[in-house]
Amino acid sequence: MQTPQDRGARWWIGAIYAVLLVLVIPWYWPVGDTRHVYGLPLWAIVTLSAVLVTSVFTAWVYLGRSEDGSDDGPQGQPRGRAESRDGL
Amino acid sequence: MLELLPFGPAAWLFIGAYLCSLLAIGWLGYNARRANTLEDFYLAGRGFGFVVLVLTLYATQYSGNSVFGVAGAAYREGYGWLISVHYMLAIIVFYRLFAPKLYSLSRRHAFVTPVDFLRERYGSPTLCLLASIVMIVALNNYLLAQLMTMGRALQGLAGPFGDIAYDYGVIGLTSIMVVYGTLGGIRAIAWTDVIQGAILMLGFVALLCILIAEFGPLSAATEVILASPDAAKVARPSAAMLREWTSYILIVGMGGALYPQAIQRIYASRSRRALNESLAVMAFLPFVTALIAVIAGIYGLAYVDGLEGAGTDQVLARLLRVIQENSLLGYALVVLIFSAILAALMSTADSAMLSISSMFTKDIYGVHVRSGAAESELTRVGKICSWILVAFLAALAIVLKEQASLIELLDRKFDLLVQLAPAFMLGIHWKGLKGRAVLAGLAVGVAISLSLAFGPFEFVVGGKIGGVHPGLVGLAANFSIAVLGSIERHAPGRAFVP
Repeated sequence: MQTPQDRGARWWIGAIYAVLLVLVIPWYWPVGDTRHVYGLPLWAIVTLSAVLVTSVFTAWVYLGRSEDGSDDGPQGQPRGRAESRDGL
Repeated sequence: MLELLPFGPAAWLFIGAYLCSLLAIGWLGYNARRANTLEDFYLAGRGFGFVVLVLTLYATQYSGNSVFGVAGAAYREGYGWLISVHYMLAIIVFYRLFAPKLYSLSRRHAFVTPVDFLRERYGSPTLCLLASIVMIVALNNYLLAQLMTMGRALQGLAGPFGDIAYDYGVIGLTSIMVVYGTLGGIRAIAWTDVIQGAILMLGFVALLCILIAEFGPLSAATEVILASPDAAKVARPSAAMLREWTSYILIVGMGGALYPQAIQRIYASRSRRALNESLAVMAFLPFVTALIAVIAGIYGLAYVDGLEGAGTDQVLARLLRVIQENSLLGYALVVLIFSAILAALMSTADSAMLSISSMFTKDIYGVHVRSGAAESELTRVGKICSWILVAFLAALAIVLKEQASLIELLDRKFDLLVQLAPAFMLGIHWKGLKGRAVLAGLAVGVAISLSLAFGPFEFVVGGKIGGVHPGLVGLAANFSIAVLGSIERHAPGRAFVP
């Protein structure tokens, strides 16, 4: 059963991903800048850093949150077909 | 073959031992089968733990495109192709929308193919048939790209004998793949994925080390590019290219998450914890694969001249050829990297092959041709289907040798797969989403995508509309039809229980 807290969490997780999407695309970096550090352009370092943050956040979401708290492990058994069609 | 590729007997012994180990694992998988059923052949009894799952997901997700296609694209586009790191991560992010819930449903309802979910959720034979066709066509495209890359892997190393080596590569490697794949099913393929995933990861790290050792630091390569007519390829991508970035993140993120073979690995997970831990690890793997492939393309841009069009996909093979000629250590590492490349190709191709055969067998043959056929018959038909399919695509790969870049093939696949996003990602959460609306949206989305991709439209430049993939334009229409159609037709009394 999904609780209001679950729905709230889904929204703020979505909001953080939206912010990260804005950051990983380097639209804000000056065009024509070719400065680099150890060969990697500065804009590339910035966008890869944002991707790394996204990776860490994604791992946290997977490890820290469960959709319904259950773990359908080996004991999970097929239950047959759901009564859930719209008659097509 | 020895005169085609500049490898000595020891190298061929190593590669031969690796290929024989795949056949041996196929035989072990055959002996380890517990029942002659679709669930055992295609899902290995749903018993993948964390280690097997993460390595099989990794080996399946990172393909020939990840190695040759990305390096070739970085050669053409420069650092702008760092987008490959972004979109490989986007796949893992989009999994979060539906994979954990789909896993639970697959346990309850004994799903074997992705279409089993659609059948359970919407109960529409027409929708299931169309979805099966979309996935099979998209995966055929993908499998074809892998087979072509097998040929390119040898072609690039073989120098003047490239054309013959390409043909040998396609025929020889696909033969081995289809033997172990049809012998042991997904169990053999997952076991080979464990070896292939480990070799692939090791190979990528070795590749980075050897590039630096052979050609000098990345800073030197970047300086070489800055001093050349390609200097703009170091700068931030143009606004038009950044629109393509956004498009790639969305289309590959959604489309890649909907790979049928990956969905079947979700079904095959032993537990939800194993699934979540595997996907958490996968979130970091773009940094040790896609990023290194881009860096290889940058080294190629700096030090390999004269590649154009589809030939740019050979840039990595050209680099390897230079490396192996210069030192014994380089030679040994090139053999390891070459094995890793074969691993990437074969692990992806075998999974696609098995997934196509499962969908054809269970969702088309078992429903529309021989309804009620025994599981043993379906399994046998699936194996025959694999052989015919691979023979046909291998011939096509040889005919199309010089026709298309790998990235072009990859783009068309996602244009199709992404049309399934409303059915899976929305339908698994929204009880009110209606089968008729999803079917109409899917049909319209596919029609728009293919028309834009292949039609004679002047506003479609480089296969995109203003930097946006045709598949996303189709998806916008698809999504609107699915949602509006469901709202209009919404009626109480139907309850899908996720």
